[in-house]
Amino acid sequence: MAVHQMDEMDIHEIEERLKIEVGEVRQPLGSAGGYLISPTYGVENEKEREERKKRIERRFFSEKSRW
Amino acid sequence: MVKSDNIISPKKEEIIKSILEVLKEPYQYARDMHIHNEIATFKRDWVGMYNLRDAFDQLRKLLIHLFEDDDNSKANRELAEMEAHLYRAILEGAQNVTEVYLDRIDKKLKPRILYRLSFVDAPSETEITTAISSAKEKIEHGRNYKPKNWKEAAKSFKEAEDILKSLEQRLPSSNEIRYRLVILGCTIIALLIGTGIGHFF
Repeated sequence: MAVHQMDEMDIHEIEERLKIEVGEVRQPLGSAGGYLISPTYGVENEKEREERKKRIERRFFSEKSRW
Repeated sequence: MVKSDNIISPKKEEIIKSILEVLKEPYQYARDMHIHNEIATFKRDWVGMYNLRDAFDQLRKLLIHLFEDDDNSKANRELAEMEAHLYRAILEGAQNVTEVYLDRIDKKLKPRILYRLSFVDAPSETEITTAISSAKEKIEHGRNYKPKNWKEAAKSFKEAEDILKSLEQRLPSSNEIRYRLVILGCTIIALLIGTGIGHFF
């Protein structure tokens, strides 16, 4: 089977082919603390992240940096 | 649970053991780093999330190659890809935290004259320079080790994070400096007015 065929497959088809039994959905243990407060997190888009990376490079890692 | 009547060959068993090894350490570390990243930066770690998603996708393909197509070499290739995504999730996340702290420090740092005028308890110039230089060294070390040794790289980023976190906590906030300067200004104005009134009478 080709990879692109698998990509096009429906999740139920994959489950059927792998003969997987999907049980009750559970939260991963140990992550509860992180997920509980996660609704308060902001979302940083790719542009903001890239800009911060460039700013850090310029301010701290360039030859002109005072540090 | 996988229900299969196939007899597992030693080669397959080896691959399954490798999957368990990857799920044991790199996955746990990647998941912990993903949560830590969000808590430390107050932002959703979508780079980590994408890498975890892709790792999971590779696992899905791996299982199909292993049990359905009976192609061990393709399964091994998917395993390597899965591992690479997990390492990326760990190291990109670790590096991102250090960059967020550097950015916060950069925004928090004020000219020294303001610290002196407002009489705030701020670290000295030498302490700030030493901490930033030391953190920079750790970050560069981490960057260099990224393709060679993920544990060493992650350790370096963590050390840099600890240094920067401690420095950021010691730096006075802009609000504190502002309020102190306002109080100082008001006191000086009150003194001048008081002196002026004293001279007038």
